[in-house]
Amino acid sequence: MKPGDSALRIESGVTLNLEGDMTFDYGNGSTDEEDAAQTLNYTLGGQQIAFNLIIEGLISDNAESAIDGMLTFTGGGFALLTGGIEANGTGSEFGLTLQSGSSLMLAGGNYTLAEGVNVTFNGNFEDRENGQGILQIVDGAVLDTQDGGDIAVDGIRRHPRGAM
Amino acid sequence: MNLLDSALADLGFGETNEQIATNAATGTGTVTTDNLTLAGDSVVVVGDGSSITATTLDNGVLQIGGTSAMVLQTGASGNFNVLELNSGSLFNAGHT
Repeated sequence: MKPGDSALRIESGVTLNLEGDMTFDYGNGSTDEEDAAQTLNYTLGGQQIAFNLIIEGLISDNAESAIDGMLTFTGGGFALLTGGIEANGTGSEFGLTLQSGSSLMLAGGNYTLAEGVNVTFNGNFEDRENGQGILQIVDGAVLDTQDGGDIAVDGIRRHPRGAM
Repeated sequence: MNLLDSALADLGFGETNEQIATNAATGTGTVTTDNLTLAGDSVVVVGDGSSITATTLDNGVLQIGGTSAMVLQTGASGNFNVLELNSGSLFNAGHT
C-alpha cells in the first residue's frame, strides 16, 4: 500500500484481510511544508493531527490459519491506526516494523502482534523534533505481543521514540 | 502522557510538536510483551495511567543499552523481572 505523495484514509467498517506481509509506504520523508506529502486531519481527544495514512478498519488474518505476516510501516510519513490488529487463525501471527523515519500512532483498539515489534530510526535529532521515528500508543490502545513476542527499539544516530 | 514535560527536553520532547498526541485528552496505553530492548539512542516514555508489563512477570527482561532512556512518568507502571542496564539511564520524571 503506497499512497505516495497523496493521502489515504480507510474508514471504519472496512476490514483489511491480509494473507502475509504488507508494507505501508506513506509520506515522502519531508516535513517541509512545500515538499511534504498531502495529509488528512484526524481529531483525537480534541486535538487535530495530520496524517498521510489513516486506517480506521481492522487489520486481520480473517481467521485463516498459518498466516505469518510482517506489517512494515515505512516511507517517512505519519500514519494512524484506530481499528486494531488481530490474528485469530490457528498458528497465525502478525508482527510490526516501524522504520525509515516513519511514525505510527496506535489509538484505541487492540493490537495483537505475536511476532513482536521492531522500531528503528536512522534520522537525526532535527528529524525527531519534527515528529519522525515515533511509535505512539494512545487513547486506550492495547498492544500485546503475547507469549513469544518481544519489543525492540533501536536508533542508529539519534533517538527513536516510543510513547504511551 | 505528557510529552510536553520540560524534563524530557533533552530527549527531544518537551516542546510543542504537532505530530504528538498531548496529555490526558488522548488517554492511556497498555503494552504487554515478553521482553523490551532499548538500544542506540532510543527513548521509551510511559505516561500517567499507562503501563508496560512483561507477559510473564517472572521471565520478562527489560534491557537498556547504548545511550537509551526509559522514562516512567508519575502514575505510570513498568513491570519486568530482570533489568539489564548495560548503559543509558533510568529515571522517574514527574509532570504537571
